[in-house]
Amino acid sequence: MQSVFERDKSRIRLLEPSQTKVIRKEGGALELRYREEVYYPIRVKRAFPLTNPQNYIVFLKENNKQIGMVEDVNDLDEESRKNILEELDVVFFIPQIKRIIWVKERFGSSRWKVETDRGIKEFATRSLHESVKELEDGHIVITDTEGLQYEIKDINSLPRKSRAILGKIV
Amino acid sequence: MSLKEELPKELEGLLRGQAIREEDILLAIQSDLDEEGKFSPTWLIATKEKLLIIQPEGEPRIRCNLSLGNLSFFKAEIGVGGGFLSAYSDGRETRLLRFTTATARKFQIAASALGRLAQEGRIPPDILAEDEGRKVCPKCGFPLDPVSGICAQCSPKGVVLRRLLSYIKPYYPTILILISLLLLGTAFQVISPLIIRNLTDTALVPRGPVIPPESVRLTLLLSFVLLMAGLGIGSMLLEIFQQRMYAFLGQTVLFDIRRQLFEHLQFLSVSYYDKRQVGAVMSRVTQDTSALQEFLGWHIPFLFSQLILLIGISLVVLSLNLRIALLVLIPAPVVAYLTRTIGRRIHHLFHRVWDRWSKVIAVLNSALAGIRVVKAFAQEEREARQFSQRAYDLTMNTIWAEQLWATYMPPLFFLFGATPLLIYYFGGKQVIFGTMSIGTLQAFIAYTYMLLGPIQAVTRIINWLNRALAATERVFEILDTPPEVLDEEGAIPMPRIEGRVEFRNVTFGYDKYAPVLHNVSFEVKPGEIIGLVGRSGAGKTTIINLICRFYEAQEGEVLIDGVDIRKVKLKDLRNQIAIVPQDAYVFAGTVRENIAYGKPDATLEEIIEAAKAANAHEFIINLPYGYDTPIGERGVMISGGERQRIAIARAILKNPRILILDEATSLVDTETEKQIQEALDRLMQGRTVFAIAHRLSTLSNAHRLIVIEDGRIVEMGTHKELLRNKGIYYQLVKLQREMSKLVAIGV
Repeated sequence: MQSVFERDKSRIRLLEPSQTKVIRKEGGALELRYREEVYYPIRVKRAFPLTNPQNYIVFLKENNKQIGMVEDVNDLDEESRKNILEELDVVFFIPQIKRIIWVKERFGSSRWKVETDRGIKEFATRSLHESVKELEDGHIVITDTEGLQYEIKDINSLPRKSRAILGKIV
Repeated sequence: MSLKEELPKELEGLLRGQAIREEDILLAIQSDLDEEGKFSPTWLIATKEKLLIIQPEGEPRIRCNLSLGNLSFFKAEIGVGGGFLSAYSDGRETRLLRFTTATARKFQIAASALGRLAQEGRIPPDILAEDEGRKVCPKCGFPLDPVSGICAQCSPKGVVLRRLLSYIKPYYPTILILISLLLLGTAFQVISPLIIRNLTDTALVPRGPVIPPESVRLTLLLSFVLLMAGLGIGSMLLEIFQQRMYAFLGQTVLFDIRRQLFEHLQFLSVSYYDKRQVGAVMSRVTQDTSALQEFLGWHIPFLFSQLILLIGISLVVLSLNLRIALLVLIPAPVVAYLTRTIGRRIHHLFHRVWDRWSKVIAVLNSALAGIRVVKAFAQEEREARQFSQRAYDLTMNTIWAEQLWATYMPPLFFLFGATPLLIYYFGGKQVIFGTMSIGTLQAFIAYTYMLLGPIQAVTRIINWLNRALAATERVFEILDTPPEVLDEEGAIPMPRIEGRVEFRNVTFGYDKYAPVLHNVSFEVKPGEIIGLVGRSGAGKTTIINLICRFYEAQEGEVLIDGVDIRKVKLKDLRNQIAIVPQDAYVFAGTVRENIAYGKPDATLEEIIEAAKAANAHEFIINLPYGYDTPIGERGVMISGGERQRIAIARAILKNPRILILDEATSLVDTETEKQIQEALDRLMQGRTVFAIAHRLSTLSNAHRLIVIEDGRIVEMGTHKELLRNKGIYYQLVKLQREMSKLVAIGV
């Protein structure tokens, strides 16, 4: 109930990078140490996951109350940085496609087999128009029937054969 | 779905090493990610005492071995694409495993199952609802469409199609006539080149030793021309009949499907609509049914007639001249293939154009609809820039598509024209050597052109079929959703409810695994006015949803006059409950129709009385057409307060035993609020009332207040009692008073 009476904190609380430590505790959850304060377990979130994934990383308590944020994850020491990025990777999971092995179309839906940075994966999509979106030139996001997204940041970085397969369908 | 999935053989040894027997395993589920987030299976296995995380890939190993007794609760957290399952024990968090959204649901359920296992030593069997979980096609193992439950890869298209065709069953006689007309029409079409052949060979350039005199040839010419005229008129009449029948058939079937669909939609439960957007459901009634109509009423007859035409032409040309016939027929598949491939490429491009169009429209729409904001922030130039950017993108894509079209289409048309060239050459040779008549050559040329129709039909058939099947599946998905269970067997009729409402240990969540109400109990006497107080999201509206039986409690009971609400005849219940919501809804119709919505046979006097009691009569009389003024969509604009009062009049006329006021006065100004409050006070007399209000002052006449927090009742009592207790209610009141003081001072 406390929060109802709290006046909103209208200023953001930026943590001083040199005073901020993020430690992975036994069991795998993270602990935040800032000056004298210690928080455990914490959650981390990106404020701008798509446009500025490295900036404004927010720390939250387990009950989603905000603790504060750091302006740039790269300002932190190497271990904290690594821990934060690993943690973000768990809850922001978009595999990057490195190679398309095959695509089979049938009855307006398709099956794909691709190589991603997370290993080989087979998945299915609904109609290509709905599930393959070109955000801007050469930047493609594919959504499968499970709602999982796969990304191709730059179509030109794919091997020639993959590009040919993709070119045939989109 | 089961919480006990089949374990791979490789794990048996590992489990034996842990002295775990097959029958000890209570839970075994597989995640699709490993510790590093690579696509690789990980198993979560639980027995009565232990929790194991096993990595089966490569050398199977136990990554984590915990004693269940030390863990107090479990939670699955999900972000974008992925998430994790954690176990908690006195302030300590242990990460168990990662998963993608594909298996997330399973782990949410597992978290709740494991919690129960740790606390109670068993997993209750009802933890899994029947329809839960990711469904996988039994044939190909690919995930099913979560909405329609159909495997996109290998759903039996035949079954769906047959079901669709069942809609035209009542019209079989009409269809029989249609088919015969179709056959006749096709026959006319196939015959006409033959007439030209005979006309050429007997009247224009007769061959043979004896050439008939000109007078005979002229008579022949005239009779052939007349015959063709006759055929032409016949075809025309057939066409008229056919088109009229198609129109009738298509639209009637469309009407049947639409009506059935809408009727079904009305009887689906509220929870069905919670999961879907109104727009998506609407497009099924409008667009998807239109797609079906197009398919049934236009594509099928067209395909059918083209198929008959194809057979007819093939038979005739084969009987005329075998060798030339092969020249006509063999290139057809090639032409069909090329048309389809090129057609697809061009289709993709035009789809892109369409996509860019919608982006242009989006800018246009948001800039014009938000023109005040644009101007207020002086952003006209930016909007213009954005528009021109999108428009340029559209232009470039359109140019590209049209240029491609311009490049591809002429060669394709040339190809269409190339087959007749072959016929001219090889057929012409036969004419020169006298083995074929000029008339036959002409007929062949005509047939070659005639074949283009069926060829194109063949190339489109797959697209049409796909589109129709997708629409059909979406429509059937609705029709196959079981309607709300209206009444259990032996439902008790309650023509007059006293208004006693009781909650007994009610636990409920819209999602079974995330309860919104925890063990809520209270009793309300008939005629009592109850104020429900609490933060938004505390569970006030949920309590109301349960009283109306929009949802049913998962645990515990809701009783009306001492009878379990599930056993009360739903119609009786809802007939005696009225809701005045925060944002009152008015239907498209007149004021009178809107007030009498719950009692269509109300007399005019009753209607006026209700309006009067609702403080609505005054403003209604001042509307241009009084009670007959159309309101709602396309009607006269009325204010929120006026809408509210119409809703109150509607509730008064219904004369309910139980009245629910859900923030009924929160959207109006103080003056209007006073009027509405007056009307509400009249309405509340002699009824059981549940009122939700953020402005606590509006609850001043409540007999008792129930304070809810996080789905639990934390305080209950009269206004005075609660103030005396100095608990949460006291603080809320104090806070609001301070705020209104601030407002009064003008801070």
